[in-house]
Amino acid sequence: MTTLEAGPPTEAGMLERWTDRLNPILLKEVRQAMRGRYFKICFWFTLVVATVVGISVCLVTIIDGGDEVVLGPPFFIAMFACLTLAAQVLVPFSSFLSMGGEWDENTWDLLVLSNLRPRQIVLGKVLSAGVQALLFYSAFGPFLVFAFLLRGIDLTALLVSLSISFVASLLLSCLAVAMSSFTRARFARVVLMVLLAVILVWSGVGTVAFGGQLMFFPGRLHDPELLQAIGATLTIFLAVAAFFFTAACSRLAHPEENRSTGLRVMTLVIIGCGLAWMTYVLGSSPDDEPVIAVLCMAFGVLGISCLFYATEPEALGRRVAATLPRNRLLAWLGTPLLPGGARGLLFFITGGGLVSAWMYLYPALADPSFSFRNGQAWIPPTLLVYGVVFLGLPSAIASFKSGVVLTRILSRVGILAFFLASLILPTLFGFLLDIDDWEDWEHPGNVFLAVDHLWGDEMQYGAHFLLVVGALVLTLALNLPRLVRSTKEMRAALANRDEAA
Amino acid sequence: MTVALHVDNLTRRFGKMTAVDQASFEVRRGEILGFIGPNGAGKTTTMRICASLDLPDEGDVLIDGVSVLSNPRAVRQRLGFMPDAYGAYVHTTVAEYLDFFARAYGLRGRERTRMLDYAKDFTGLRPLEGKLITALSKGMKQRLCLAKTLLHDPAILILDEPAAGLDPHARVELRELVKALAELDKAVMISSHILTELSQICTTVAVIEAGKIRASGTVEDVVRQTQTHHARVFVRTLGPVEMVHKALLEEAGVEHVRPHKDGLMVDLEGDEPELARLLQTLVRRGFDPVEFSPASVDLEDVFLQLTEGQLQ
Repeated sequence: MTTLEAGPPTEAGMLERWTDRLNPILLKEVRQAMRGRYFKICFWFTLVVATVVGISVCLVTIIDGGDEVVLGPPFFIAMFACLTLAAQVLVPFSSFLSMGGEWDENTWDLLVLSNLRPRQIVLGKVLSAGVQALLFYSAFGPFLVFAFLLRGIDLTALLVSLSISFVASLLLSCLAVAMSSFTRARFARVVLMVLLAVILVWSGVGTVAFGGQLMFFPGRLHDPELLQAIGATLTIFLAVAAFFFTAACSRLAHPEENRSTGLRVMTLVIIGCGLAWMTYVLGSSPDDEPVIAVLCMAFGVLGISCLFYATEPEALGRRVAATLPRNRLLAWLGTPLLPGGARGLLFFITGGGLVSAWMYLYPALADPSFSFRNGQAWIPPTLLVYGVVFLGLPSAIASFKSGVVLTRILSRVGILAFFLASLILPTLFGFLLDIDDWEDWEHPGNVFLAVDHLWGDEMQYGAHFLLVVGALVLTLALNLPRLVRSTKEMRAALANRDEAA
Repeated sequence: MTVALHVDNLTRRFGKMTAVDQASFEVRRGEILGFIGPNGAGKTTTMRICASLDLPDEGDVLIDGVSVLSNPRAVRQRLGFMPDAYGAYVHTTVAEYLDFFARAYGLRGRERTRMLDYAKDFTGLRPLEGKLITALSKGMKQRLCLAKTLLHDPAILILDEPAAGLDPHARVELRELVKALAELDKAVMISSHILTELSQICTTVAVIEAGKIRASGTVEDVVRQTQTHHARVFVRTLGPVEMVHKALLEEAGVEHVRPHKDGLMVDLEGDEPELARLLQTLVRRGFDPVEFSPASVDLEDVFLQLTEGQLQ
């Protein structure tokens, strides 16, 4: 850096110094939002609507209910609905538009050049959404106090409703920024915008319904099961918000940088949260039904996320290779977390292994007398095998051109199509060839049936088993070349790093 | 002088098209490199790679010895890039815009105030600091982007078409700003279509066409390279210009003749012996030459000679 001649330094104000540590994007976004038309119109529109709706609800309730009427809960619900509209629909939507504005207004390159990290940019946008939401909450403060004064309002229920609404607002802002970062193509952005609007309205309705339940039946808050459900929901909400946050960061990172490890870690965190809650809820009396239900859900989450991980470009990326762990053992152990399609398949196997380990270990440790009935103990390896086949076969075929965006999209569509075809086609063949079992969906392509049979120990192990094993062997054989290439690439990257050091 | 920017065998492909093909050149501290080439030659792609916004398929760029491949964040600390197309935030004043980027560059407290003052004074934006960016003229917006680029005091500046769309007055001002930056020992790489502008400020040039570097070095070196076995001479005779024009075109080695002032400008293949032979021919054929002076070649001539306007 060169040294510049400059005039005498001027004193920075107290406020300036205080804001030094703040995220620059947060300051910019809040400044722009306060001056922009969108926020002003939304703010005043919501307040006017809230006033009109509040007065209307009071009048209708008084007219219908006579002298014994309790105005608090209906008035609160009306205000809570307006507040939810603002905090869970309008604010996240503004985050979507703000992120998109960086592409549309050609300012993205300037942000990258300013050395702001993607996580600082996303955090700034989400925090700005949080500040805007808080402004709405504070504007609604007098209405909420008025609702409380009208009687019939449980303070705990009110606070729980508001807290859940605020957490949901942050989660939806993370989702909005993530969705906005997915593409710069205008048509795709319009489609995403519509999809987001549907999600926002749907979640808003859900929050209002939940708030209404709490307000009219505040006693439910003393039900330990509801409290556990709220705790689990909040934990998983936060983990999902963190996943969307990471997704936005990785979409904003350069394609040669590591866009995958964060997402893979967050996938494990979400699954871990689910398993931890189930462990906490069941405690020392495990039951096979919820344990296997959670296991199947975990495999579902793992499978859906690996739809993307197993179809990533195979190459490690030059900037990723330079950031591998110094410790060789750690680098090799972390292989499933590194970007690349072959490593995505390894991630599924590793993740599936961890989930299976939970299923075997937790009940055994919690209750030594516990044992799985019938063929239940075979469910994890079965799900693992089916997952590897569904993910591995199409992605291995497409792996030779995985650097091309269209191939990756086709590969993902191919996995879904393969999964559906495995369910439907044998049934159709059953009709045509008059095979009774296949006609009734009882064929080896039906993973749901396989789990059901293991649950009830009705699995026909003969031909079905051989077909599944055959598909697994074929999948592994097709994946072998990319797994070998991936290993060689890791070895070369580690050698290069050692050489550079 | 220290090498500030070293471009080494840079190659960038987009599908089957090679946008930059094994480009190599360097810029030293205090130098102004004019990066010239026709539209679609690969100038912006090269500059974006140098600025760490894009990655090469082969080769590397070292900014003060730091690779754009392995350490882009360190590169961005040392480099200021002014893109040809950039946006401005709505509802934002000049002062707020600069303040935002100063914070983004990690400048804090007095350091931020000092650098903001410096950038505003250097670019003459202080009287406009309360104005909304959207209300600024094109020239003022260019100044604003330059001010933003200078905030973190980069050692290397890459300016992509900074004079595009500016009026002559604003262009002169920009030229003076760029010269002043070079005097501060910064390395400046600048691309422009206005070659007369570049020739007045550049110490070195790199000519790119169809992704390949056709020539690079100091302006004098490049002119010398391109003029090897080529000469240009201004001829004025007492005889009628049309006849002389026709006669010159019949001479071996003469490539191009065009009217210039009250005489003719002649481009011919060859060196001084060929010039002497041409003079002898004019005398022998009775054209009575009164002026026969070798003419200087400018950057525009070099550019036209080196490039054929090939697009990618």
